[in-house]
Amino acid sequence: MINTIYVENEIKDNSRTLSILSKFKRSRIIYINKYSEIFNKKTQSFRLQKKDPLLILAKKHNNFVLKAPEGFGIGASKNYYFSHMYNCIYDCKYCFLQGLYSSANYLVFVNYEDFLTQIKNLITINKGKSITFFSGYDCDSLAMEKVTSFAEFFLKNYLENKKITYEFRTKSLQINPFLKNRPSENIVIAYSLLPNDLAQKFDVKAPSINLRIKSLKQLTLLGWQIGLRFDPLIYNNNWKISYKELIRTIFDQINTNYLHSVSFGSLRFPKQIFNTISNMYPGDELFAHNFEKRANVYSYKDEVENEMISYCKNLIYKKVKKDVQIFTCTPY
Amino acid sequence: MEKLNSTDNSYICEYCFIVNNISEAQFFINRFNLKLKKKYNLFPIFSNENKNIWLAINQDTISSTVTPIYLNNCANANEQTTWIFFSFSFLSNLNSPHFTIIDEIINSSTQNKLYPSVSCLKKFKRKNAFSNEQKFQNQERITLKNIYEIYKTLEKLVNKALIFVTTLSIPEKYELSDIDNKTIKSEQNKYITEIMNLSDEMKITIFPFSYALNFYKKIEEEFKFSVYEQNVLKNLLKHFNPNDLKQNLIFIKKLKNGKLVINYLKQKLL
Ligand code: SF4
Repeated sequence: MINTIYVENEIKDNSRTLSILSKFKRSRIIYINKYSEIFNKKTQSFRLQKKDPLLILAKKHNNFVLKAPEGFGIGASKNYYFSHMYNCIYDCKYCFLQGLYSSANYLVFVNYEDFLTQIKNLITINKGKSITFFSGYDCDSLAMEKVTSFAEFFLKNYLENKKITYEFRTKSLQINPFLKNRPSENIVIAYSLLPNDLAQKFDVKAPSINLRIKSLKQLTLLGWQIGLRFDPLIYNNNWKISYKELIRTIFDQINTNYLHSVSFGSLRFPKQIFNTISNMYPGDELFAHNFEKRANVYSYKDEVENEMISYCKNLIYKKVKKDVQIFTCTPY
Repeated sequence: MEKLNSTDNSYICEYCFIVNNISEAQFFINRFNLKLKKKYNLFPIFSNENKNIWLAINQDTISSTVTPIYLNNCANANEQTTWIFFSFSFLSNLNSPHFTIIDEIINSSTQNKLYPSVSCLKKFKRKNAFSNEQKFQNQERITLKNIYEIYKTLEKLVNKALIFVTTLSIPEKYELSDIDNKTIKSEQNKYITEIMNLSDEMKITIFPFSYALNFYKKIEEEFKFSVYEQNVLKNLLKHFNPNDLKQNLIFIKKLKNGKLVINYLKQKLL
């Protein structure tokens, strides 16, 4: 239950705003001029707000779609991302948003149309080039779907084009918009996955791995393309057994004909974000293993990272009949 | 501004209260046994014997933006200090006292607004308040004297989540002289205690490490430690939660030397 909602005056009569507000009849609503009055203040505590986040409804004015960081992609020549909201209802310990924002409040931009307009402009500018647009960089792209209905809007209005892929990255079970629509070659629903024992420790408040796999199965049964994102890959003493078990469970259940791609990215943080997050979890085992600072990035040692990726890749090659696309993401 | 008490930093200021007049201060003075600190003469400044609780009474003659800064300096407050602004408000549409947390402050003359944090304040009744320089009759909305300037300064100075703007709204027929009324006192006691306790819990989340440092300082005042022992002690303390440490501190202070303190804490962790 969100007990306070801040609404920018500019969008207070917007139909989407009103529709979202109608879902929170008992919340206190406070009208504000700019979301930054609440969201960007420096002396806030992310961890504290995470206990009791509130909702901010705002209008985004620019930067609807941004270039994805170097090394972030699933095969297209251009990669962009967009975020209709900042922050997330889950509380993964490794989530980089904790180090990125000073506020954990949910900020939703209600002018969805403007995101699509910029996506369309970029497709026109990059005519003929393959492009992937990622949703779910500053949030989980589906976790708040019941409130935002963003995916529902997107599926009704996106531009279909052979060269374009839209990825919805998620850990959420809110797949209703996909179940209600016919599958599209352009869209990939990609799940972030961890072995069960690690997910229980680190994917706080997120759906269990079994439920995520169940959603993947449901989607493939309907013909939607799915992505498996082993990102972050997390090391512990038991990692080989854990990842073997995870990969076995997934491939026992999903229809690999609809597997668009697999990607790996080992746990890594820019220095500043590492410091902020590791101070939030004094003594947590997430930060205990094999970290090394390379070019201002904290990550596992090269040999650990490479061993984990190649071990998991080999397991996957044994499981898939067709040539599946496998990528390694090095987003920093 | 110079640190007014720079000679004595051995205490830790946990709570700072700001009120607008002596009637509002009276509850805090009695409850925490606060004494007027005569050496601070810009505002009436009070503190208890341990100097962990401080109070300032805002003055009409001095800009209210100065109050938080002055109290912050006198009390040697830090990022972990809880700040509670308390004031009575008088409403014509009330029959009994109501305690309220303010989550929106509106400057009556400019209509500019400020938004105090609402983190973890679900269970309290919340409302907006107008900031005025003077008191009006027949009010149906909460009006708090100078709160806009005070909050604006505080917000820049300290941790936003630890500032609580509070009011006890009282039926307008009451006068300040009626404020001894039992119901009013018990409401004040109930809610101010709840907020102080809540802020203590919040600090554990906001500063997962630094409560340990506060205990470290308290222990270090009593015992001598080598540099190595200091580090061992700091690390050991991080393994306890603040309540355990509070309870253990009484026993620790009775021990004979630093080595015994470290051994005692190690034993407790087994
Ligand atoms: S699901 Fe993604 S965005 Fe949400 S908390 Fe976890 S890592 Fe962060």
